[in-house]
Amino acid sequence: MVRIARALAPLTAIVLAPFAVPSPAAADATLQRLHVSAFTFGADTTHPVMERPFDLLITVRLSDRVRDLRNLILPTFIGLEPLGDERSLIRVPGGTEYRERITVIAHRGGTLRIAPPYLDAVDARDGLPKRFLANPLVLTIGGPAEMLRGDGTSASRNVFGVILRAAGWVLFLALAGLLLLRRMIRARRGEPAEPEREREREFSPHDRLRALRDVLDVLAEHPSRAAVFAVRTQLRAWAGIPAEATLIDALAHIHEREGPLRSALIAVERAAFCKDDLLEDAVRDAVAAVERLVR
Amino acid sequence: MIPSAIDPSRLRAALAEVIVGQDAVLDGLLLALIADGHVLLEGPPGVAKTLACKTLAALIAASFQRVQFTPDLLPSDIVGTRIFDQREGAFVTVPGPIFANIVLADEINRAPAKVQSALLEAMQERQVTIGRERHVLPDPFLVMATMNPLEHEGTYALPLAQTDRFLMKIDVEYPTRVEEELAIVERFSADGIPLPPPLATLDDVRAWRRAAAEVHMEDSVLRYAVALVFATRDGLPEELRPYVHRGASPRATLAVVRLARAHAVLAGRSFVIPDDVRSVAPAALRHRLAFTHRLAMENIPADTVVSRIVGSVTPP
Repeated sequence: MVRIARALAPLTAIVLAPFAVPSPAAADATLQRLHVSAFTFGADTTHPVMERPFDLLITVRLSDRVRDLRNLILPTFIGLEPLGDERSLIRVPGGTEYRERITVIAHRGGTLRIAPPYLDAVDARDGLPKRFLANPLVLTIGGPAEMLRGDGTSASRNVFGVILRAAGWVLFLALAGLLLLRRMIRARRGEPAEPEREREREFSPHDRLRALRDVLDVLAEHPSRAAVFAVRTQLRAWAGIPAEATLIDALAHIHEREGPLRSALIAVERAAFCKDDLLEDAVRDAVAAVERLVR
Repeated sequence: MIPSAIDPSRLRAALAEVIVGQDAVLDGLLLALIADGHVLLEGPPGVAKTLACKTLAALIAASFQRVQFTPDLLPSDIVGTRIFDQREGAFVTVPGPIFANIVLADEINRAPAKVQSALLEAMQERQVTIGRERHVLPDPFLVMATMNPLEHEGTYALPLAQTDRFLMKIDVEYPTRVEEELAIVERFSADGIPLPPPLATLDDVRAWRRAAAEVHMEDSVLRYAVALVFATRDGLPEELRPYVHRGASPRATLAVVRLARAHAVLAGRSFVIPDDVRSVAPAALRHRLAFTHRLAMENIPADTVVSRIVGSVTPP
């Protein structure tokens, strides 16, 4: 659960009134009158992997007591196959929380950009019909470094994917055979076997850098706390710093007294936790610091 | 960040010039000063507990009093009493040693419960009643109480409800390196160590406290602080359940938050980062947990459990 919560943190976002735009459904008399206090879109993992189901999570926090939530529009999940959808409306102190968990699976690797879900409602603060947008989501699916595209369903791509998968299986079986052989030799020599360890899927530095650049672009275009967290996560992943590290851990990990990585880590930490009225400046500094590092 | 006040880190450096090593003690005293809370110091004799408190008082030009707690101590020995003045022909109030900015209550567990509760009540209320008169204690008012962990003969253990009144507990250890012990010997002359001149004023202390109160704490960091305290109760890791009888109270959460804000001020920041919370959590939690006898039987240090609890919660 802790890992899931950790994974969620960088991807959740609070997109409030500043992102609300006049709704095209303004004339629709069925719009609900709502106080939208938070609207987030995220995933339960920062490292989704091909052919392994994961969840996309949408949370809407309302300062109203409502029995249902209408006019919540989901984006099209191009490149992801939906497997299930679970919705719940929970009463929380001071209002209601809507949670939607969409289980999906990716059949191909690469970077996936998902448009933000949106909610059409009458903003109870000023009585105007608005479209509330959550944050967009950028996911890097572990697997072959292939950019997912909306039109990527051509036969050639499918054939290429099948070949890659087959090659992957052959490689996997060869490695498994080698490991088995090594263990048998050790057993024959009487050497103790290495303890079993769960190893995380490894991504190439190129994949990491691309993911970092992607989230940095999102941060530069849409400065928000959630986008800062996404940059923070990808920066640490790129630098080989454990995800659960605090800033002190991270600085100790890099063994760098001065330098661009140290500056970037500190600048991003400031943007992640500073006061809201300092966020704009802090984001500008963080983007500049990370850009100096990766461009 | 703090207009018209000196940087508290300069105070830290000045303390370190007198006290060798003991980083945790120096940081803890400054945190308590900025967070406006009382400190429980536990450590063997001769590790500069008293000197650290006196030096801190000298550096901020604060009044300082030391009370040696003994089994025959009376509440009036601490708070004060009223005596009959024959020349005036009337009762006059003689304030006790508690009327000081910094009060060192040495070996607090040597005094009976009645005296302890008189002190703790004064700590909580920040005022005392002598006769029928109510007297407000000076501001800032900081109690630093020491306990000796080695001797239990003739001591009155502080109940958990009373230790909870202390914002933090600092474990004072012997010097860990030969160089530190050598430095201590070199600094001590026959007359002891001269106290440094004041570097800050009580107004500076008040300014630091105001700054700490305004330090921003992002929601995710606040949730992390809450999760840390919750992890001592229902969220306790399974392998630690045999060792913890009772977890920390919500007052511990308040303590973690206050100390984290003070830690941010000490670092020159106007916002709290997860490191602040993680750094202060052991000091805010260690005296608020009730451990089972199994911990002592297996000779496991209480701080090991606290560290494991803190480590079990993933920071944002």
